[in-house]
Amino acid sequence: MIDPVETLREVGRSSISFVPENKRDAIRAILQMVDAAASSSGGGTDWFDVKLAVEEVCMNLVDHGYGPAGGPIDVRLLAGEEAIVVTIRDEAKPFPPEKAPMPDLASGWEDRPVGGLGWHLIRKLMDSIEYESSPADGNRLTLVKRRAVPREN
Amino acid sequence: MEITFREVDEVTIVSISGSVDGLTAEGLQGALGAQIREGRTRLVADFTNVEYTSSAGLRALLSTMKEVRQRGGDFRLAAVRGEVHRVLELSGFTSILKLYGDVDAAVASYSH
Repeated sequence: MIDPVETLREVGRSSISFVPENKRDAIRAILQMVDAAASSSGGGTDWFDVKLAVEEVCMNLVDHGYGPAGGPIDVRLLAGEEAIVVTIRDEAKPFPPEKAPMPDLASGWEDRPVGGLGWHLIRKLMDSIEYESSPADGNRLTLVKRRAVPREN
Repeated sequence: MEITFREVDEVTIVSISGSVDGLTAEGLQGALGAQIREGRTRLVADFTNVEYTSSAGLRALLSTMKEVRQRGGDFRLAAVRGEVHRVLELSGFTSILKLYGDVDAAVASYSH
């Protein structure tokens, strides 16, 4: 659960009707939106992590989640002093994050598979991951990144 | 992302700047593959100006490394920055790719 610790404000939003022909434009628009939100919020490592997580999720949507007809991708960024919250809504084939297999991080170079690291990185870099899916409302992924801000106690 | 190539002591140095992400990684992999197929198999990627990478970038790095090692060469990285280095570490790449503090050290490693 996300603690209602503070008031978050929207710092970026990108609502795209994705079709495979505009894959690059869609990804570019989403990444530029994250870059702009990061710049306006001071940047830093937390925003690096958020950008990576957004890219991984959206690349999976355009490469695997949606078929030839495409569909909507809605990315919303909320930020406060203590957290950055990402919500991504889509109507693609549901993909609960726990379905993503654990990657092989240990074998030698010859046996190391190429790919399969996206969800591993999201798990490592985000502090919480929630996923809801319903036929009526589509899929909604919520990622929380706790900010590395020193707190006074 | 921008990439430039130069040769020093029979080593091909690939200077990359910007983001190695889902939009640019394939282009990087293609450019490196073309060098390899022209027989340049001692590669150094200068990461001084790489500010961001994602799993798409990792895919390009691992594919390139595999292709060039299968031809008896190597793909070594120089000057990987903090956040990008952390992504490589979290992905277990620092145990299979050779990383050096700067380009000179990476180039010199081929003559040892």
